[in-house]
Amino acid sequence: MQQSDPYRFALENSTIVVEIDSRFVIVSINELFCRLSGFFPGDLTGKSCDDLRNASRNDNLWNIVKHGMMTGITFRGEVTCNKKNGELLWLDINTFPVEEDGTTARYLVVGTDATARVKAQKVREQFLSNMSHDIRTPLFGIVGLVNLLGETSLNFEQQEYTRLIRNSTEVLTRLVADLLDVHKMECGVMALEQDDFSLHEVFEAVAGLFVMQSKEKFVTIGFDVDPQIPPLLLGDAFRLKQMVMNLVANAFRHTEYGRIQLTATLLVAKSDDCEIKISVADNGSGIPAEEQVDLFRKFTLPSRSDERIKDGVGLGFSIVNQLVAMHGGHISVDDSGGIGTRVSINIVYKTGSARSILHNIDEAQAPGTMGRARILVVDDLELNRFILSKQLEKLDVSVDYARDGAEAVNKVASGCYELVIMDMHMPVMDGFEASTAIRELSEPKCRIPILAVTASIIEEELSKCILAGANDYLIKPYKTATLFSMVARYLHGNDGVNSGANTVTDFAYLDDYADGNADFKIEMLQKAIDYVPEVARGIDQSVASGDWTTLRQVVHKLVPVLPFAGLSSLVADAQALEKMALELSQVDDPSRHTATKELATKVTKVALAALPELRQEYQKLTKGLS
Amino acid sequence: MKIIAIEDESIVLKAIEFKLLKEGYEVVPCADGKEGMEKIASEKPDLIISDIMMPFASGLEIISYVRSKLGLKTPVLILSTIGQEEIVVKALELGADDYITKPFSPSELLLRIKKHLPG
Repeated sequence: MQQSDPYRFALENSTIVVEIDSRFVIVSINELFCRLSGFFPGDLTGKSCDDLRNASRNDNLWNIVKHGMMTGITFRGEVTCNKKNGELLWLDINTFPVEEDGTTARYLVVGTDATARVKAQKVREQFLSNMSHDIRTPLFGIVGLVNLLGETSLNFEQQEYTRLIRNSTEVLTRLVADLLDVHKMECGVMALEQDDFSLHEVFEAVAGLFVMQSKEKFVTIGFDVDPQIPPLLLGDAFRLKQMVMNLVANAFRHTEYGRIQLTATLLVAKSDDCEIKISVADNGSGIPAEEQVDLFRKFTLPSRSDERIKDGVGLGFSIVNQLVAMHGGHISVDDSGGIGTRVSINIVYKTGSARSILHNIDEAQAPGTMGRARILVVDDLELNRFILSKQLEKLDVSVDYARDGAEAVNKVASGCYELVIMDMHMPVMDGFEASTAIRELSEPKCRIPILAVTASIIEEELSKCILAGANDYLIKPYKTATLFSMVARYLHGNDGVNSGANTVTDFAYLDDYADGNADFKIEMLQKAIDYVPEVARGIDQSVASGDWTTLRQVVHKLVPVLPFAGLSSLVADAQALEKMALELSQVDDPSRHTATKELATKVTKVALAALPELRQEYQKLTKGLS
Repeated sequence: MKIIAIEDESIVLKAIEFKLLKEGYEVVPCADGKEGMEKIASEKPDLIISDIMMPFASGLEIISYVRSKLGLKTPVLILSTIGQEEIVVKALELGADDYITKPFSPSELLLRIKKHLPG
């Protein structure tokens, strides 16, 4: 082979060259292009791009070239064109305008064959997609069976093994889901939803996911949302959760004890959109600079051997990175070498409108009107106050607001309300302090029923609500119907608004049993105050789902406790209920459901009505001691 | 005198512990059947009080563990409720010495315990 011009030789054998004039007519094609496409030079020269275009593919070479020439944009990337035999050819191309006399006279398209690479990629994608599916099917089978297994009677060791299997399947499920997401993003088939969401709720939900881990590792997790950020943003809350969750999971990996803080700051606010910086900061071991480069690649984990990796799913950061890119945002890592890491993402969100949130309020039927009862809603977030007021509207009640605990206490002291619905986490004075302060007001203000609203599902936190003075709690997210039944229970039941005398409870048994020991009485009352709402919930839930076996177990455990809670009078009813539940669990007779449900309602109602009296007795005794 | 009390309902367990301590007994409270079995083996109690329906190991399992596996004659009292008569009979067949029906009066609890304690 002649090699008079080695550059030309190299070019001719590696690069396709196509020359097009300003009327989109092909002037020349080189030999390599002919070889790859199967065309002869005469087949194409003199033809217009319009004749060769393929309308069904928007990555067609001739479409792109013409579009580029018309708009004056140079193009660089992957395109396809049909070979003479109709097969697809993939090319990586660059387009260059060639100027003559100040105007673009011709276009030069140079490129390389990408068919082999693209085909390999397609095979890989297909493989990933099939594999994910093929793994998921048996995996779901395993998850389902392990859950069923966990419900059978197992000894301690077997329970522990079941728990470990479940943990492993959870990690595997997440890994497979992550793989699918990466795959979707690579194929460009992942679309972002556009719905109204509250950043506060996203943070709350993410923090909630890590409750167990934070307990295990002595890591507290906190979050803070800049009050200047609009309460509603428009975007994909699920994907945002996914990003934040992955960042928090990573922070947990680096933190053995300490704190992980989620922060959202408003950077730029415009009339209809705003740029927000979301940071996840930890005070863990930090990520050395040389490893930060690796951070956003797929399947990488910190290389240090001292790293204790419990759920090292290395896809997390790569997903975050791609999601951030899809949002048109950017991500940065600020690491101060050993004393913690802060990973921040900046994203522009449009400002949301309240319309869709209202749409989301489920269409619960109001249980009759509440006769214009006055309810005080205490929440520092405008959005939550707004949603609650919209929900309560249906009950025909009059709603007033307080922005923090201190304002709530003042309003209860000076105003005239019949129920307080109180968020537990607020600035200035939180819901716990406020509930306690309200219980210390003078009669009869101190007897107002308080409904605590919390996102926590940790039992200690829930009983903390009750101990602080709340009558009951609503766990976010709650259904409107749940809110209604709670409000109805405390407004109609007049729970807590009775006069000084105990009407439900009788502490003779407890007094006799304690034989003068006040500490014992206090301990029993405290346990009973925790226990009663829990057991009422257990009864409600098992009745609602028709789970008679659970109902029997719950009531069985309740019976001997009742006398210690001042509820000896309820023992006979509870025993009857236990018997009915036992019989239904043996032979389910639908004709007896109504009677069982009625008796269950009676038992929970009386037990809950005892709560304020239990609390009063508890306070009386603890004050007597101090 | 050392008594092991096995009961998964913490209020009832606390109440039993309180009463027995006040009476001068040494009490080992256990919150479930498994803990109960472990403590029976390690603590060598003079008497055992056990609930029937519990996680990990039931009261019946505890009786057979004490009588058949360990071969001990330690008195075992069963805590039952109304409606558990059949299980109580089963417990007595397996070697339980007596039963106390919940809710119980504190004096009944103490009297039944005294009756079965040696000496």
